[in-house]
Formats: sequence, structure tokens, C-alpha cells
Amino acid sequence: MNNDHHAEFSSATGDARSPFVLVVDDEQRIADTLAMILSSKGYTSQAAYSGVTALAICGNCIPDLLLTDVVMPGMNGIELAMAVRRDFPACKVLLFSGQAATAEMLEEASSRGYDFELLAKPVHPLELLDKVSELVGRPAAHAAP
Amino acid sequence: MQQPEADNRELRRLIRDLVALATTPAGWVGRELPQIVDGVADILLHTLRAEAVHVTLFDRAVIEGLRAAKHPGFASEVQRLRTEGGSNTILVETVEAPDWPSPLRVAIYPIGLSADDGFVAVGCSRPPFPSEAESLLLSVAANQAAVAIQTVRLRTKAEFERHRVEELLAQAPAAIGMMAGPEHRWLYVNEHLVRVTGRSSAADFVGKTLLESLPEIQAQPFVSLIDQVYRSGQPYVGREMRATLNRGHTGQPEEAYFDFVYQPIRNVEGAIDGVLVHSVEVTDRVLARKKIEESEERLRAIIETTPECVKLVGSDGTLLNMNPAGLSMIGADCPEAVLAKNVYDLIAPEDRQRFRDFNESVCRGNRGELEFDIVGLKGVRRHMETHAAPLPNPDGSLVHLAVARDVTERRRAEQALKESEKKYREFAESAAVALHWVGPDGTILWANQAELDMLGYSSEEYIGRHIAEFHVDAPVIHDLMARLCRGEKLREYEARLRAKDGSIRYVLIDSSALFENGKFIHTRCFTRDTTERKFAEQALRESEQRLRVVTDATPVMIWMSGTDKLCYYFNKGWLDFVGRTLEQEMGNGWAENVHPDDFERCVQIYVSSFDARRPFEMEYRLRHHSGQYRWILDHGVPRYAPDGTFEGYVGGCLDIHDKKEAAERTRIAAETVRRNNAVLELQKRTLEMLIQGEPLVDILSVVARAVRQLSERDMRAAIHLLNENGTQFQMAIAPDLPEDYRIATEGMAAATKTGPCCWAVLTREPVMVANVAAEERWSEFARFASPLGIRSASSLPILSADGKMLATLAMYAQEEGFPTSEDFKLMEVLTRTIALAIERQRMQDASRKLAAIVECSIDAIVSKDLHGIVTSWNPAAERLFGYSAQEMIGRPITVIIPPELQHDEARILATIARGERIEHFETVRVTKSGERIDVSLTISPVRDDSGRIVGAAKIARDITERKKAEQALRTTERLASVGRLAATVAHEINNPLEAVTNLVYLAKDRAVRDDVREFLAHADEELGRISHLTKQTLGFYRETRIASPVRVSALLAPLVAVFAPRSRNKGVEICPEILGDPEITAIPGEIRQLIANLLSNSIDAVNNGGHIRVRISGGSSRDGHQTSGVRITVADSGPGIPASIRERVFEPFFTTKKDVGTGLGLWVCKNIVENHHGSIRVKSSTAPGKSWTVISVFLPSLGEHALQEVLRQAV
Repeated sequence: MNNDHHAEFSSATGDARSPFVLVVDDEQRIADTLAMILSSKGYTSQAAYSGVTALAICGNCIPDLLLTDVVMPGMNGIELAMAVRRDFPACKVLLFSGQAATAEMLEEASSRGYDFELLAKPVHPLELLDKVSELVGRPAAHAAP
Repeated sequence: MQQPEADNRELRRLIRDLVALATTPAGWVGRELPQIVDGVADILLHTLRAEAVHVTLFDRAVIEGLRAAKHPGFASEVQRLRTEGGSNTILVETVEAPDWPSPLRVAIYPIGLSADDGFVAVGCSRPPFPSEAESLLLSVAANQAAVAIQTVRLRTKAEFERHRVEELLAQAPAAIGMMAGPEHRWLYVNEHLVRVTGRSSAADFVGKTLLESLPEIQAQPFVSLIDQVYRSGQPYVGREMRATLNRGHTGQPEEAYFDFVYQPIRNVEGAIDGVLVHSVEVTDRVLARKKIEESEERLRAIIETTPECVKLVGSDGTLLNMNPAGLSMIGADCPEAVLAKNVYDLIAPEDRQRFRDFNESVCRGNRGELEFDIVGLKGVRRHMETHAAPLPNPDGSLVHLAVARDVTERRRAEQALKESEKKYREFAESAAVALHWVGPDGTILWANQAELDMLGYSSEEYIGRHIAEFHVDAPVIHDLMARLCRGEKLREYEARLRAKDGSIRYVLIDSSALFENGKFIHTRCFTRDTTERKFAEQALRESEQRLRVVTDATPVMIWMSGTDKLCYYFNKGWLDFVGRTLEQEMGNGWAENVHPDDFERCVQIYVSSFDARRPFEMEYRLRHHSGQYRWILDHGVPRYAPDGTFEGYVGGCLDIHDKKEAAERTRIAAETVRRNNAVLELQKRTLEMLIQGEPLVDILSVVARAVRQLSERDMRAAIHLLNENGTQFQMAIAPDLPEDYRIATEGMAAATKTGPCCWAVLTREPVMVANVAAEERWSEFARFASPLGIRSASSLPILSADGKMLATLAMYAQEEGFPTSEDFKLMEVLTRTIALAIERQRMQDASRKLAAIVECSIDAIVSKDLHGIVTSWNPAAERLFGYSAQEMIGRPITVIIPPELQHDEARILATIARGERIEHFETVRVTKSGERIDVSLTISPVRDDSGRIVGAAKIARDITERKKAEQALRTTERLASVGRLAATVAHEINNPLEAVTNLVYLAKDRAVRDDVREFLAHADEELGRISHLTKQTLGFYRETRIASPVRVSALLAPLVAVFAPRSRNKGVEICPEILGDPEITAIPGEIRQLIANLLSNSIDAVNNGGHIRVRISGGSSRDGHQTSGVRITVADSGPGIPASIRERVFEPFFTTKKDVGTGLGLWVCKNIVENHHGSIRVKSSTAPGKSWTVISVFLPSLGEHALQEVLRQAV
């Protein structure tokens, strides 16, 4: 795992061994609050507000998990997910969306060989944390709040 | 002598002016009124040498022509006189005004049939103004103006009427067309007919025949039905008739069903000249019922039997069975009346035993034929011819199967023939006319009693003797026999027979010979005794001779002729007159001085009178010694010697030249005046008849008859009406010509070179023939005309205002020569009157035909005035609303408007009063029985001939059924849109909800105070409830999730009806096509939504005149699994979808319709299809001019269980 440059981007609470979660949503408030929730549970997390920024972050430091919204201007979440899956196969991907249309986009991705899991907004934080720990494990040095 | 001379001058001037007035203004017919007013004013000014003229016509606007340079205020003076003296009488006053150079005599003549079309006022300072002649001239001018104004009005009115009805029909929602002639040539088709038949414009029909325009129906029954209607005059009402029309997407045959009426159209004479078609397509309705009907049809066909009696008879004579034809032959009202009874009772007594034997023989296994009489239950005797065969029963016994034919008629005919032969023989025997037969050798073979009585012989004395013995004149009987032997038939052959008492009987013989196989058998001579008549004739001739009187001629100039007709004596008076010697005049010398024009006539009178020994009187011109031809009255009588011998003629002559000349001048003047006024009277009468709507034939007969009175040379007129396209003479109106003429000319092809009328059509110029017998090119015509006494002929083409050939006017005279210029002018004037009458007639005809369409329209057509009072109510309106025309006409239309919609009527009337139309206005009306029905109204303003709106015409169609379907769909759509809204809102809520949830979580996590934590926990709970709610509504609407068995075609018909108005507005046709319709398990609301979305897209895409075809067929999936199901294909002729975006059309919010599209239509379709485990594909072409888009949906016929499973997974 290449964590050399990770410190520059990770939030203050993260340490080298805690999983890095990249949260992407064009709604800044959603991205920020989720990053804060994940950080408060000991994850290293970073918020990004567009697919392009997220890809740039990945180029610097590969996340353990990409948590991204689907319907976004410019590069959408599925395109982002497919790019990450292609370029950074080790990174897990979890989508969340508020729109039913997402289902069709997922199927399309699936038809091209990409299968992603999707959570429907609104996702309760506890539910999300369960999902995240299921995918990347709990942060080792996490102290209970 | 001074006064008559002045009168003569006056008369001459008057004649000239009248001619000018009567001929020039005729050219105004068809011109605009202001030109006519100016023309009349100018002519009056010049011909009367008047100082002031004021002509006024009261049309829609007042049209004035004023010529009063030196008399300012003339118009107001005229106005004053009319106010004071009455506006519709002739006024003559002397008027003085301060600024006029002299007082004027003012004459005012009203114009028009009822004197209210205007007036002509003329001012003139000459004291006796107006003289009698001037009065006449003024009345002629007023007449002319009246004729002109009526002409203009008639033309405008007729055109207007036709236009109005045509407009009404164009918008009728039924296929309406009109065909003329036996070949059914289209005169008119409305828009709807063009669409229904899949053609592109009315030009594909009008002018063509039925088969030219719709070749595909050649083998279908429509042509012969229309033929039948055309021939019989009986309308034909067709219900749900099947037609195969080439109207599919690419012109391929398509089956359709129609309710229709074929109505004969009659012309003014009552003859049928066309057929009206009024048709409504009912394909949907019919297809639904078709299958049931087909099986019933087969059953009926089995029940149908031959028209012959078919029966089964048991060996004991029991009638076991009999078909309907048999029952009717024996007069049984029902099978029970005869079945199981003994059939022997029905056989005539004399045939009963024979029939019994025959029956038993058949039941023993023999076949046979028998003729016998039956006496039916109602006592009717029939002669039957039966063919019988044994028919085995299941038990092996045999019964008698008989097919019997009623041959009563044949038998009756045979008997009648026998009887007539017998009667003929009896007649010959007892005839009152003498009759005998003579054999080839001249022997009398037989004579009846009348013949024997006539001559007084006994039959022994007469029969067996030679016929020549009884004839007085041997050559006569030889000739008679010879001619009979040659096969000639003799009529009234005169002969003399010798009676037994020696007297001579004068007889007339009618005779012919009887030949058999070319062999002379005998003569048959009917002999009539004319002896009495013969004697009476001789007596009469003798007494006439005795009574003949010899008269001496007393005139000054005397001539005498001998029995050789040659003159041998002229007295001094004659010789002095001609200035010649007796020698010069002798024989035929006198004739050299007779005027060449009179010579032939004189000789003819002289010779014919001479031969008949009749006195004669004739007038001719004889050359005076001064060289001048002078009129002579010659009176000749036969001369007889004292012993009664005819010796020749004696004649006396008077110089009547001066007397005749004076009389002739007066006659011509009077004649011209009479003729000109008569022509105008004729024109007025014709117009009056036109206004009163009298038949064209009557009007033209009046014109044709008038020709004879008005022409100078006793001409007989014939008016030949041409057919619509001017190729054939349809009807001849020739009341003064023999019937043979009419028969010969009717139906003749025009534009040939046969007769003058044909030439006139060919050249569009007048044709004149001075002597029909003289020119080679008229030889064919002469053969026909000469026996009718026609020696000279002329013909003028009659053209409509727009130059169409309508008819010809032919004038025939019994003498040679060209028509006089007066007669030619007369013809010219009459052609205009005739043209007007025919044009008016044709226009009225067209209007009447269109009116007939209204009468038999399937849609209710109603008109009302501007107060909403019903003025017409057609039979369809009676059917739709339940009120009869009698009940409704005169009542307010509000009777059928429901109480809560009464205010609608005011709005409708206001719209109509503004001259606007209301189209496809859907509302509710109440029938007589109180039932509320949904109707679609199309209302247009009705204008009178001055263009003023006077009422409204409305077409109402019952749309109750369609409304119900629409209502159902609207409910579905509303549910759908509510669902869509919920979904959209949910999407928008989800994001903020996510943020709030996160924020509450973070806050709760960090809250220090317990109560704050508790509050935040509550907030978290409430957010959980909202989240649950949005998840429930997320996803597209579903009003019901219950799948049921569905037939897609049943969903399609109401949808097509719902979209029909929208497509109609765009001029787009939706053609549903049901090729197969397997049942599928589906959610009906979703399938309905699917088809609705596809149709809606197509309608938006297709341009005016395009087609949308919706085809439902059975099929199987194309994914290799071969699952069976139903395929729905919606094809349109829209601009197509470019390949670049074809992939994206199923994406949500993707739309090409920037203003109206939501971008959800096809996305929803895709969802629905996939829910049903089906597939949807799009194919399209954007090739310019032949672009198309086809969307093909396949829905598998899954079992209900399987589908519910699928749906559960989808949720």
C-alpha cells in the first residue's frame, strides 16, 4: 500500500493503518458530513465534489474505498467508478444515489462487465458505517468515541 | 299630309335608337352594374337629345349615373318628384329651377319587376317631351336596366349558395362524394373521402371515373351497387360493407368496413344523372364482431335451400320433412301444418292413385320422375314435376326423397298457345270480313261465309273454281297472283269482282301468300267491298263540275292563257305598263319582266293552280317600262266554254305598288318596335321564371317558341344542351320542330363535322348555311334536314361567362338564304339569355345536389338563425336527438342544451355573429328522451347573398362512446401523472434528506447534554420516517400492480379514438391493423400507457398528411427463446430519428421536443416493457422524402404466476 503522500491529503485523525475512504458527491454538504462521520469513526477520509477531482486524488493516493454519488454533472458516479475500477483495481467501490434512474445506469455498467453495489439515499449513517466496515474493515487504532 | 311625314321621321329615328338600345346593352349581361348604369345613361342622353339624365340602381349599394352638366341639382329635383309623386309609378312633370337655363320636362320610369330596383329619369326642354315614341324608349331602357340588374343578382346568388353548402360538406366528418353519369365520374369529394381511401387529394378523384380513381374496387360489389342505384333510382343503404382499399402504408390493400348510403341524384327533369356517396368507416366495430358473424354465416348457408321443393315421404305417404320452398309451394304457413300428415291429401284427386303407386315404387328402391297436380292448403292448384330417389333410413327401410319443381307456369303457357290457335281458326270462320284462300294453280281452296254473302254465291258455286272467273279485269288478277307468288304483301289493291247477280263490285284486297319451306301453299285474301264509296265519289266530282262558275276579270291589265298554260293575249293596259309588244309578251315572254326573286314563286302558284283548275291570287313585282319594279296584284280564274270544256285561264292585274310600299314601311316600323319590346319582354319573363325556379326546359321552351314569333323569316329554333364536358348533345328543346328532330339529335356527339350545331361547337363561332342541299359538306345534314322541310340553317354557340361551351342555338327556315341581320341580332341576344338560364340551372343543380347530401347525411346537420331558432333539421338530427324536424323547426336550439350549459349558446351565437367558425367543439346535449349525449359540434356562419351573417349551420356527431373511452384513459393518465410528480419530488428530497440525516448524526454524536441528545434522537427518528416515505414513492407511478389477461387490440381501439382529434387536426391518419391478437398477461394500465406514449410521440413527429400505422400481431421473441406473445408495431412517416441519438431515446429526460417533451415518454415505455419481460426496439430512416420510424414492442404471453414473479423481483 502506497501511503507516502497520503498524509498530505488525509484528515488529522487518520493514521497510516486506518482505511482511506474517498467520499464524492456534488452536494458539498453531503460529501463533507460523510467524511466527518467516517473520520469520527477512525477512518481516513477525504471529500471530493466532482468525479474529476476524485480521479486526481486517486492518482496521488489510492483509496481503499470509493464512496460516490451517481448523478453528478460532468463525469457521473458510474463513469468515475468504472475508471477507478479499471485504473485502481484494489480500490473498492460503493455507490449511493437518490434517483431511480440510477438502476438503469447500473445495468448498463453491468452489461460492460462492471458490477457495483448501490445504496439508496438517504442512507442512515449507521447503516453506511456497517457497509463500509464490511468492505474495508474497522480502523485498527480506532478508539471508541 | 304633313303630320304623317313627321311621324315617319320620328318613327325612323325611334327604330334606330331602339335597335341600338336593344342590342348594345345585351352585351352588358355579366358586366358589373356601374358599367351598365353608365351605358344606359349615355344612350338616353344621345338618343333622346336630353339635357339631363339620372339613372339609379338600388343594389346592395346605390349605383348612380348622372348626366346633367347644365342642370345643377337635377338629382335632388328627381328625388323630390319621387317623394311627392310615389316612387314606383311613371312620373312626368315640368320642373323649373332658378339656376337652370330653361324649365325641363322630367320623365321618371321605375326599374325592375316590382319597380323597386331603381329608376331612369330624363330631363328635356323640348315641349312635347316625352312623345309616345320617347316614352317607349324610356320604358325599354328601364327594362334593359332591370334585365341587367337581375342577371347580376342571379349569378351572385347561385354562386353563393353553392359555395356555402360546399364549405359545409368539406368539414363533415364522413366521406362524401358525388358522381355523375353512367360511368360514375366524380364531381365532388370531400377531404374525408380522400383520407379514408388513402389518396392524397381531391384531384385524385374529380374528373375521373370511380374505377379510374379506385381501381382496387373493380371486383368488389360497390360498382354494381352504384350502377343499380343509378339505373333504378332507388337509394341503397349499406351497413358494414367490406371494402379492400389500397391505402396502407405503402399503398398495399387493406380491409375496411363502411356504413354508407348511395343516393340517386336527379336533374330538373327528374331523370337520374348521378349518385351521391355518404360513407362512414366502421372497421373497428365490425372486426370485433366479425368472428362471431362468420360462424353464424356458415350455419345460415347450410339452412339455405334451393328454391325447389325438397321433401321426404314415407312409404305410407307420411310427409316426414319439407324445406321452406316446399312449404310455400303447398301454401303451408308453418311446417307443423303438414309434417307427419299424409301427403296424398295434397295431390289432386285425379293424380292421387298415380302418385301413390309412384311413392310405393320409390320406397321399394326405384328412381323415377312424375308429373302431377297438387292442391295446396290454400286451394291453389300447381302442376309439379318431381324427381325422386329412395333414401335409406338408419334401420335400412327406404323413404322417398323428392325434388319437385313447380311447372304450373310452363303448363299454363302451353295451354294458352293451344287455345289461341283454336281461337284464331274460329275467328277466320266467323269473320265479318270476306276471306278466301287460293292455291298455287288459282283454284279457290276455301272462302268464308262473309265472302260468299258479298258475292251471292254458295260455297259449291265458289270453292273449287278458278279465281280468275270472278274477276272482271283479267290483267288485274294475273298481276295480283304474280305478285303474291313473289312473296309480296298487297295492301288495298283495287279490283272489280263479278257477283252472282251480274253486278260489279268494287273491292280492295289485302293479301299475302303462305309459304312453308319456300313452297307456296295458298294465298290469304281479305276483300272489302267499296262499291258504295266509289259511286259516291263519282257523284261528287260531277256536281262540282256543274257548280264551277266562270268569272270575268275586271282589272285594268288583262291576260289570257290556253289549255297549254301559255299566254296568248295581253290587253293594252298590260302592254302599256311593261312598254312591250304583244309578240314579245306571248307564250312565256311576259315572265322576263317578273322580278327574279318573285319569278319562281309566281310560276309555282300559276302551275299548281292551273293543274287544279283553281282560281289564284298572287302579288309579284313586274318591271314597269320606266325600269322600276312595281308590285302587282294578279288574280286568275279558269275559263270554261259554255259546254263546260276547260279553255284556259284569264287574269287581271292591279298596280298596288304605292299602297304596298306605304303599308310595308308601317309594318316594318311597327314590327321592329314590337320585336324589340318583345325581346325585352321575353328576357324579363325568362328572368322571372329563373327567379321563381321554374324548370330549365320550360324556360328554354318559352325562348325557343318566342323565336318563331320574333324572327322575320318564320324561323324554328332548337336549343341543344351539351353535357357537362361539352362532348355530347344531351337534350334538344325544339317545340316548333317535329319530334323526329329531337329524337335524332339527342345523344349525338358534339364537335363532329355533321351539322351546323356540331360546327358551332367545334369552331366556337356562329355557323350559317344558306342552302343545306347545295354544299357538299352539309350532305349528311341535308339527308336528315330536308325531309323535315329545313332549307337553311344557322347555329350560334352558347358560352358561359367563363367561356365554357354550354349549348347551341339553331334556327331553321323553310326557305333558302342567310338570316336577316335583325334575326341574327335576335339570336345573339337570345344566346345570352339562354346562357344565363343554363348557368343558373347548373349552379342550382349543384346546390341542390349538395343539399341532397345534407338530407341523407349520417351526421346531424342543423341550421339556426341568429336568435338560435332552428331553421333546418335533417333526418340524422331526428335520429340523434329524437325530435322530428316538424317539432324542432321554429323552436329555439336551447331545447337540446342542458340547463347548466345554456350560457354556451350565447357564446356560440356571438362567435358566429363575428363570422368565425367553431370546430370540433365537444359538449353535451340532451335528447328528447332526456338522455345526455356527448357531441362534437362544428358550427359555421351562414350568410345571405349580400354576405350578411344570418344564422349558423352546425354538424353534430355523437361521441358518447368515444368520450367514455377518453374518460377512462384520462383517469389512468391522472393517476400516472400524480405518480410521476411524487417520483420527481422524492428525487429532489432525497439529497437534502441525506445531508440533514448526516448532520443530525454528527450533532447527536457530539452533543454533550443529554436532553440535546434526546432531541436529536427524536429528530433522527422523524427523518427515518421521511426516508421511508420517499423510498416508497420512488420509482415510476403504478396505479395498479394487478396483472390480468389482456387483449391488446381491445385497448387499442379506444386509444385510437382518443387520439383521433389530435391526429385529425394535424391531417395525420392513424390506421390500426389487427393481424393477430393472442392473449397476454399484463397490467392493462401500463400497456395502455405504453401505446398512448408511442402514439403521442408519432403524432408529434409526423407532418401534415402523414400516416401512422399501429399493427397488433401474434409473434415470438427474437432472442432465440421463441417465446410466443404479442407484437405491437407503431410505424410513422415522420422525419425519422438520426442514428446519432437513436441509442439515447430511451434515456430519461432525453427529448427532441424542446417545448412539449418531458423526455420521459420512451423511458416509461421501456420500463413498462421490461416489467413485462418484453423488448422494445427502434428502427428509423431519415432519408429525405421517405423517412420513417418504427418502434416495435414484443410482450411475451407469460402465465400470471410468472409475471407476478417478475414484478416482485422488479420491486
